[in-house]
Parts: sequence; C-alpha cells; structure tokens
Amino acid sequence: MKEEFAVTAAALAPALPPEEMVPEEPPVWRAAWESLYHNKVALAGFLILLFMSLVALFPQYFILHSPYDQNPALGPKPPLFTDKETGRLFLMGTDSIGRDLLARIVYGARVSLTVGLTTVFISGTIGVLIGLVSGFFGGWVDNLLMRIVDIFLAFPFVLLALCLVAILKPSLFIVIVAISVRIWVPYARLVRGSSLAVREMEFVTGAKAAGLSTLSIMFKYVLPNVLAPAVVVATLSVGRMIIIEASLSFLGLGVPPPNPTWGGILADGRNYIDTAWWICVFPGLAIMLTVLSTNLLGDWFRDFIDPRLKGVD
Amino acid sequence: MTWSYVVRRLLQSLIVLKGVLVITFLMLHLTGDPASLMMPEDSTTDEIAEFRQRMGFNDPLLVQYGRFFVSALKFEFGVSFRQGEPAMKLVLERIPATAELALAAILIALVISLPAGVISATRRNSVWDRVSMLGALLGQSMPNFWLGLMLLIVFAVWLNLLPSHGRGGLDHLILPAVTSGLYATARITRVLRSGMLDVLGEDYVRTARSKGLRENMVIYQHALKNAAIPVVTVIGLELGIVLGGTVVVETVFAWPGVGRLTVNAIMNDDFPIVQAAVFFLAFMFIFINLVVDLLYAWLDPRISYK
Repeated sequence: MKEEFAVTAAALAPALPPEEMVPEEPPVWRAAWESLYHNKVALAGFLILLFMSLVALFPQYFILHSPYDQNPALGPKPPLFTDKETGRLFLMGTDSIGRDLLARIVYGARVSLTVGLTTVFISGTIGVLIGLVSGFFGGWVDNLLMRIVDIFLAFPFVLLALCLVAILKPSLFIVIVAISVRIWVPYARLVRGSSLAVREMEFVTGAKAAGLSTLSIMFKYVLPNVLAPAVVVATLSVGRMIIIEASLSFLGLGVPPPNPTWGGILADGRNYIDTAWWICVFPGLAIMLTVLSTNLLGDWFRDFIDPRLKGVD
Repeated sequence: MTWSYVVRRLLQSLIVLKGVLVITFLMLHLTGDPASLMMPEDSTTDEIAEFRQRMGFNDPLLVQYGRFFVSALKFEFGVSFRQGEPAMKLVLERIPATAELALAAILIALVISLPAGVISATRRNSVWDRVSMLGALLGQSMPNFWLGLMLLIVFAVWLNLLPSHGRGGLDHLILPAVTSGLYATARITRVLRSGMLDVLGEDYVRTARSKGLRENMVIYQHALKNAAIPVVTVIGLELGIVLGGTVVVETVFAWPGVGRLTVNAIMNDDFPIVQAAVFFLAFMFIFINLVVDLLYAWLDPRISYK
C-alpha cells in the first residue's frame, strides 16, 4: 500500500542525514497530466469529455435554433435541410415535430452528464461507507450489511429504477435517486474486501494500541488505503450510468418532456426508423462518444492510480 | 465441496429472497398511499377510499406484509388490474420468450467472445487482438437498445432481410439476440483475455510447453481450462443481467417477453404484475448465482473452505 509506505518514510525521515532524504515528489496533478499527455487515446477521451462538459454548461453557444421551437407542419427533415420559408439551416435535421435535432442533442448533454456524475458520486459515497463499516467491524455487522448487499444485487437494476421512477413520479432528482438506490452495491463489496485486509495491517494495530478512536482509525487510516479501487470503479461507471439514464428516458420514465434527453430523442426516433433514420443515429452517436470517452479516461486513470488494478472491471 | 457449504449457501439464498420480498412489498408503500397510485387519475376520492378498503390498504403495514408474504410463498401476487388474470400466471406465460432471448444472447456472446478472447491473449498486440479489444470497448460504450435500432434500420428497413418485430422463427430471434448479447460479448472477451494472459505466464504452462506439447494442446487443455473459472462466474452474472436487461431490448423489438409485459404494466400502474415480475426476475438471479457458486466450489474445492 502506498500510504503505508509514505507513513514509514515520514517516520524515518528525521533520523536520516539530509542528503539521503527522499526528494520531494512533484504534485500529483502534474504527474497525472504528464501521464495523460503521453497516453494519446486517453487524452482524446479527456478532450472529448471536456468539450461535452462545455456543451452541457453553456449549451446556448452551440446551437443555431432553440431546442423547443416546434414546427409540426415541417415534420422530420434530413440533415443539412434548409427551410426555404425562414432560411433556417438544420445541420442534423429535425425531429418528428420539426424541432432542431442538433439543439435537442446539445441540451440533452446536460441531463446525461448531470445524472452520470451525480449518481456515481452519491452511490459511490454510500457504497464506500457501507463497505468500510462492514469490513472494518466484521462479525454480525458485516453479515447483516452483506446480506442487504445481496438483496439489492438480486434486483434487475433497470427494472428497479423504472419502478421507483414510476411510483415516485419522474423528475431529474427522482431519476438520480432511483439509479443510485441499486448502484452503490459494487462499491460496498469492493471496499469491504479491502477493508477486511487493511484492518489486519500493522499500522492499524498500532493506531489501536496508541488509543485512537475507532472513527479516526476508520477514516484516517483505513479509508485512504481502500479508496483507490473504488475511485477507479467510479470513473469507469460514469458511462454506464449515462446509458442507464438513456434507457429510462427511452422507455418514457426519465426526466420528463419537454426537456430534451438523449434517450427521449431515441424514443421519438424509434417511431420513424423507416422514414427518418437521423433522429435515431445522432443521439446514439452522442451517447457512444461520451461513454467511450469516460471509459478511455477511466482505463487510463486505473493504470495511473495503481497499475496492479489492471483488469478490475 | 462440503455439505455444510451447500447448506450455508442455500440458507443465505433464502434470507436474500425474503429481503427481496420485503423490498418488493415496500416499493408500493413508498408514497404512503398505494391506492391513489393504482387508481386512474380521474377517480373520485370516494372511489379511491373504496378501493383502499377493498385492497386492505387501511390495515397496519405489518398485517399487510404478512398477507403479502403468505401469498408470495404460494407464488401469488394478486390479480392484474387490467387483464383480470393472476399476475404470476401472466408473468410465467411470458417466460419462454424471455428465456429464449436470454439463452440465444448468451450463446451468441460465447460464440463470439471465446475465440476473440483466446486469440487476443495468445496473439497479444496482433491485429486480431487490437480489433477485438476495440470491438469490446465500443460494445461497452454503446447503449444496447441503440445498437438494436441501428440493426433495425440496416437489416429490416434498408436491406429488408429480417423482420423488425415480434417473435417467430429463427429470423425473428437474430436481431434481438445480438442486441441483448452485446455487453456480455464485450465483458466475456475482456475477462477471458486477461484471464488467459495471467494463466499463460504460469509455471505449469511453461512446463507443458517444455515437455514439447503442441501449442494447441497447451492453450486448450491447460490454459483455457484454468482461465475458464472467472469466465463461468461472469457468464452467470451476465445471464442474470441479460434476463433483467431485456426490458429495453424487448421494447425495441416488440418481443413478447417478461420485460415488455413489465414495462407495459409499469406504464398502466398494474402493480400486481410489476411485483410478480420483479420478484420472479430476482428469484431467477438468486437461483442462477446459487448454481454458479456451487458449480464454482465443485470446480475449485478450496472455495468452500473459505
């Protein structure tokens, strides 16, 4: 464990003559940037994600028309269509009621990225805490928490989220809650496993002997040593959350209309696959590009944080 | 495999099943008033009150749970509001369609991922390895229902080769099965590749090679067999995920399975069907994982002593 080594090195430092002191490490963010800069694939993922975040934050600068302006008489029109009456250009064409597809996809990025990041953050925090408590205390606490984990694991997650959204009525907040309810499980299992191992290590025994409180041992000594794999899993799951959100919206139980969501546009496009392929193609490409970027960045992050985690899926 | 392990694992599964029932029951009571949730939006307060009384929602929660639990033991989840038939019967009628789809999906996933995983591990960094790793990455990055829509556009609309919806012969099965098998294919390929890479570096593989065994023997007899253990776990998990994940795919292809039945029931506030379906799918997941764990302990006896 890196932290363990750092503790030992710090404890030894004053005893060593100055010239043998370990040279100061460069700040983590610089090491991260250098590693990312040399991994072209991950860098591409990072840049795409950066672009998508800008789109989500400032959608008004990336559109030609409002995403809400309808023109049912126009109907679905193919990409690069110019409306002769108004002279408007629709780069990606229009949807079934004549709204600009590009603008709808641009605004859809908001919901996708918000849900992707917040669900991972919420479920990650819950899962890490449960796993930490379970692994650290062991015994009946562990048994109880792990059975709860098994129970949630048994539920098919798209179906569970669908039920919760239907019962609690769709909104951005409810969608986030409904997804997080089931997604904390892998974090809990992962962190529990490593906490079980870490609590047997000498520095924890030492901290106990020194009379530190249980809480401070848990959070100051155990948590930092079990967090890395959970953060890796979190990074790698953002994409999956985006796909789940899109599934909910596709089935009509996501963030409600008229808010544009990628899954919602796909649901509209599904009714026109024989006449208007573009309504289905572009939002799907947007999802794939975003998810691909988070996966590429996640793969890099895993190797950067800890090369031994290679293959943690 | 020891008997105590089998018994312990069975007991665990029963406890989990009970928990699943509790959550399935509580789900309806989340808003505090299941009656107005289930009644059409234009019902009067009197109608809702009458319905509440008839369904027993005025009783204490524990009494209601007791009733729910006892019927659930008999596999009864009430009568569908819209179709007037027992909910579990409606769910069970749809099982063959979903099972057919899930099995076909896993089969397609295996047919693609087994050779892809073995070849990318044995010819690391070759063109094959790169192509299959890129494929796996793309497969994990696209929503499967979107792949389904794209396949529909190409094969049903443009080329007019395959039917676009419904269940029937083999031609109806191809597109939905490929779509449902997408994630499983990508995941098994990756797990098998990394498992094979680990195993190929082991001493016994080197020994097998130095004995002069043919490379094919080494790969298929020695390496693949040992790399298969994590793959068996993943197949079990994926089968459970595919069963539950067909919800969206079944909607895309109008496949008459449990998923589509459930989604329609959710849309129509037909909660007996929803509860029956959720319970059934969770039950299947627990059952499959129990089987996989016991299989696993049988393959590798060290596990049951942990």
